[in-house]
Amino acid sequence: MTGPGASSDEMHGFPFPGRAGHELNESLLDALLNGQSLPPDAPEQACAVAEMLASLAGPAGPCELAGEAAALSAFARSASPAGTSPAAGWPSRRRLAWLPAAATGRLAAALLAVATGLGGAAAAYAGALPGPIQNFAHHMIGAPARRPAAPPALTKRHPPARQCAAYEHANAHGSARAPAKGSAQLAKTPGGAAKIDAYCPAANPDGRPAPAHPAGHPGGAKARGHGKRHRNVRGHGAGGSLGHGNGPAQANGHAQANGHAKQKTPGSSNDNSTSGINRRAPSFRSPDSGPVLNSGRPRHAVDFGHSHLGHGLRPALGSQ
Amino acid sequence: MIGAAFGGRLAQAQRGDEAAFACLFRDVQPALLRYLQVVAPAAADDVAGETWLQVVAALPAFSGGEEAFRGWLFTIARHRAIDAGRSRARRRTVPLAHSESVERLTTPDAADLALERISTQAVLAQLSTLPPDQAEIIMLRVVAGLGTHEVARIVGKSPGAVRVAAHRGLRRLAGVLERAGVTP
Repeated sequence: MTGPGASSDEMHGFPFPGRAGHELNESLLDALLNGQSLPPDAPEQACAVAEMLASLAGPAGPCELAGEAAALSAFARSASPAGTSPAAGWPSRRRLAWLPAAATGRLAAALLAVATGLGGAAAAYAGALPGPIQNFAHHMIGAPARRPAAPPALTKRHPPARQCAAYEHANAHGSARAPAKGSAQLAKTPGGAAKIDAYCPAANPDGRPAPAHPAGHPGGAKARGHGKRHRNVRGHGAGGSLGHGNGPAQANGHAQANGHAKQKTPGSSNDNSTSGINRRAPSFRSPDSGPVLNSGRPRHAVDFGHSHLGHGLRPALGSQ
Repeated sequence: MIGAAFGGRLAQAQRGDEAAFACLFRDVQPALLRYLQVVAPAAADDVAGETWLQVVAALPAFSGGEEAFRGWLFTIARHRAIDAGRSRARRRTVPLAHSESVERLTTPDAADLALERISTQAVLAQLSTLPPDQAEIIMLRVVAGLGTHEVARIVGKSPGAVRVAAHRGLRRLAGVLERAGVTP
């Protein structure tokens, strides 16, 4: 009943023990499974099975390597430093054909997260986030401080004010890049790089409020500052003992108003009284983008800054 | 199987060499697809794609020889096939859709095996008539080229049980051929 060498255990349950496989002993079966050559006296049954198994392990058919391009694309995406996930760069049709719904969903979620991050960062640097969040971004990533409720027109006509603001902001927040840029810009102003600290009293490290009109302050800057000051003159009174600029900043509830406004150049203190909106990351803002509401910048650019979550996400979602 | 050159190919692929990865892919993909046509016939291509995505993502962290690599890859494929909901119990009722020869061979008229060259697809269809565990083990042993112990680890059985199941499966195949008149 059983084949030679086959145990009763192996034959247990075999449906046709008397008719099939009876010539296949264990050594033959192992040889078949291991792809070994059969002995010359192997039964024909074993040869037929061997032929079947050889066909199973035969060379690749043309259709079996059809996915190579997609796999290589995924591999290249994964291997590249910029790659975020193997699926990110999958060729569209191939990817859709291969990727399961779950993977597509993860891709959408990843894009959403990126869009959210970019939108949030852009909004932070545009000063467009709600007050507490903007303040948080201000301290965490160096985004501008909270925007005053009604910012007075600042301006392209007072570049030293913004540059001093950037310079001192960078000093206060420890950025290595911003001071260099601020210094480079300020070096072009009358007096040169050597007088930046004098020009921007903000650079004093002790944190004490700068005198409202320090001696030796460049007259030119002072004159320019006063040229606009009448618009904000009420701020002087409101600021109390802290001097120029603190008033409006305090009035707008900026928690760091004193700390920052005290550092402003007196000549431009009226501008810097709202200097929270001037302290922007240089790389995210065009040179004339400080006075967002008054500079005549294209509306769509402003909207991008304000979009933070809403506008920033819609295009990404719409593209999914 | 790549053989002695496998270690070098793997190291190159792990460094981002596309040609080396293509070599690995071409070596394994036919076996992977054939295995999946047995264990997940309705979703073999999709599961293969998912498997390669996972392999690509985890390839830099892999270490081991060629059999370990294949064992790792087929383990992933098996898990993905299970995830795809293609239970092994359904294998025998879901026909392979894209082959006329499959249709012929799943019918009792298996005598065509003797009259024309045996096609891979035809044999896959024949294997699919076996009990699921036997068919899977034969595929892992013969097509994936894995040893008894590696297959036992993948399917969660003892090596002895794997060997017995493989033997039974082969005897069944021999019986099918015999009844079809392919062998005396």
